[in-house]
Amino acid sequence: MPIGHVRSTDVVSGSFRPRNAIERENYRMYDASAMEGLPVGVQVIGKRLDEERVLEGMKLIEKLMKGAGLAYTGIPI
Amino acid sequence: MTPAFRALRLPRFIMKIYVWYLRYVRRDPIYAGLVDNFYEKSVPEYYALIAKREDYRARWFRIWRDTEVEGGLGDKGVDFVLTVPNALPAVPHRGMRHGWKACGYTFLFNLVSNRGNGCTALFMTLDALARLQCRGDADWPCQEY
Repeated sequence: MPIGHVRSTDVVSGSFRPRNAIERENYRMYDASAMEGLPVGVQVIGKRLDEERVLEGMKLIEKLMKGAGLAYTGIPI
Repeated sequence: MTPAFRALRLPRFIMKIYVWYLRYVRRDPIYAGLVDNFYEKSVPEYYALIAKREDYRARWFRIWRDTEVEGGLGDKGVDFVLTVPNALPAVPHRGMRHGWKACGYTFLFNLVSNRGNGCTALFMTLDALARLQCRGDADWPCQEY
């Protein structure tokens, strides 16, 4: 579920060194200023055939985020 | 996925040479392990992997059921796990050329819990990369497999 957006301040620290090829290629794609405003999310994992519980969990997270004044707002089009 | 399929069509010994290069020249055992296992499996190998997968799922299930949450176990224990989905937000055009290798959590959770029952997992990405020090989540489920 979406939880926020990339901010232009979310830059990779200069001391970061990727430890394998997968990490390197993925970090090479990351660009905080180009990706600013893109949705960022979290993932809720439940057991098999446990969809209702997962949906309730998502509702709970949404409510908590709203309560903290951090409700997700869509990208204006 | 195109480069992945192209790699699958290569003769095995070329892949082996590439694995050797990755492991001993580039000193990248994680990526080397991923490339090493990337070939078409024979039926006996396939069934051996299924047995391993079922064992892994059973271990996962036991840990899930045996984790105590506020004094409850089993059905009263863990309701769901909150995790990060993918390492990046939406990637640039052609970004999945490399990006697909980092779908470790997608692979993992398909493997262990929600195989064949559609969408319990919903996506997007993480913030605060500056603080991130865990290693790319691409590697460990693939290593397990």
